Amino acid sequence: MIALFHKMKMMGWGTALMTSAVVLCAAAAVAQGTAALQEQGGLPAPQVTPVKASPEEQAAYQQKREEQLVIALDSTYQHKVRLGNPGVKPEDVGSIVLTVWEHMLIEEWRAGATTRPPSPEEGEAHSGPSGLRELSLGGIVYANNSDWTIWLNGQRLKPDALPREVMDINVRKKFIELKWYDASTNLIYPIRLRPHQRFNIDSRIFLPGTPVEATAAN
Amino acid sequence: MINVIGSRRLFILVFLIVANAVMAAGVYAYLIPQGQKLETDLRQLKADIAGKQAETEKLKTEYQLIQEQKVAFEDLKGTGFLGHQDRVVARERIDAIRAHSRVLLANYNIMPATVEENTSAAQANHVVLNSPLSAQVDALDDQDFYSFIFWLENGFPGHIMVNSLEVRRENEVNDVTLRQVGTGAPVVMVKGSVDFEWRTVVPRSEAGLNLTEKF
Repeated sequence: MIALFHKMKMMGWGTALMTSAVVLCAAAAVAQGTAALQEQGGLPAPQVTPVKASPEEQAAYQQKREEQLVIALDSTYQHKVRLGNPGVKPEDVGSIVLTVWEHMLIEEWRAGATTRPPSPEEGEAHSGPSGLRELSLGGIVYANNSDWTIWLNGQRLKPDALPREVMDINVRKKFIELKWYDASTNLIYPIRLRPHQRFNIDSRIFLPGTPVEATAAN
Repeated sequence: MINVIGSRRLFILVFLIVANAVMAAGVYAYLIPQGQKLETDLRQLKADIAGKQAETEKLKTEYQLIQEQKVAFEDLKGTGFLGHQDRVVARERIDAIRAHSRVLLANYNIMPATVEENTSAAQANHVVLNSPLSAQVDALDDQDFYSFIFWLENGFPGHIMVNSLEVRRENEVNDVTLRQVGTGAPVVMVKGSVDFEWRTVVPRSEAGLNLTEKF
């Protein structure tokens, strides 16, 4: 109080009184405003309308979140590697419950995995074995063991002109014996065919008639 | 003798003798002790300098050690070893590990944390939180399962220790299963279960948090 009195004396009594009046008016105005706000229940809450995110926004957020998680995972891994040896890596262990061939097969099929099951057409086209699936013998012209002509799947074959799938062939007057290599299944089929007979590789059954005859009969 | 050399010369001679004596006395009484004292001071100073140099070397070594420890501490902090075992973070991290390791399914359960006393941690007024964690995993091959364990050990916040591990084969590899694999169907070839202990270090004052959430 004494300091205030000295200060007012230094400022001059008139100036000091005017300053005091201004301060008091400001304080009264603030008090009145506060009271009015309290009567109204305080400051009005900001109006926030929730907006539903579109599927694209949700997908983008999800992708970003997954990226952040991968970054966090890698960051933790880097810290742990700097602190010490991370231990044996899974690829160095290999598989214990599967053989090497089984593991390779699974990896190969998984590498070609699609995100949806194939349609019947696609299943025929992609998931099944490829290559020739049926062998049909049209006819035999036999002179001797080294001079003959046969019609296999409509193609004329002679001893010096054989497809590479034919591993071995033995032609007789009324039948042929051949070993056919199927690349898609990696198997060799020993087959005995008579003229106008066909063999289905997938079902492993002999059927009468060539494909043309079978189509005509149907 | 006075008559021979004269009184004046005798006086000068005596003066010179007295001066010599005074100077000799000064040398023996002041300069030699002072020199010895200075030599002692010099030796002391040299010893002090050697001590300070050794101290400087020690400080340098300690500084380097602190810098290395600081890096190690930052790495330790970065691994989440000084965390509170946040279950939400743990769930997200396991989900990320599950996706990263390509396992088909991972059911996991994080048990309530228990407080363990550790002498090293107690010196820093910290305690060890230990939460048993178990997971049952379905996978296409067991390498994915090992990958899941590897990433849990190296990508999960805190320290993970494997207590037990079980792997068993569920299916045969044949045309049917391979075709299913080729279509992307979740073919369970291997089932595995693994039990871990998840440890982190927290301040003693913060060890009483509620850590009983299960997933």
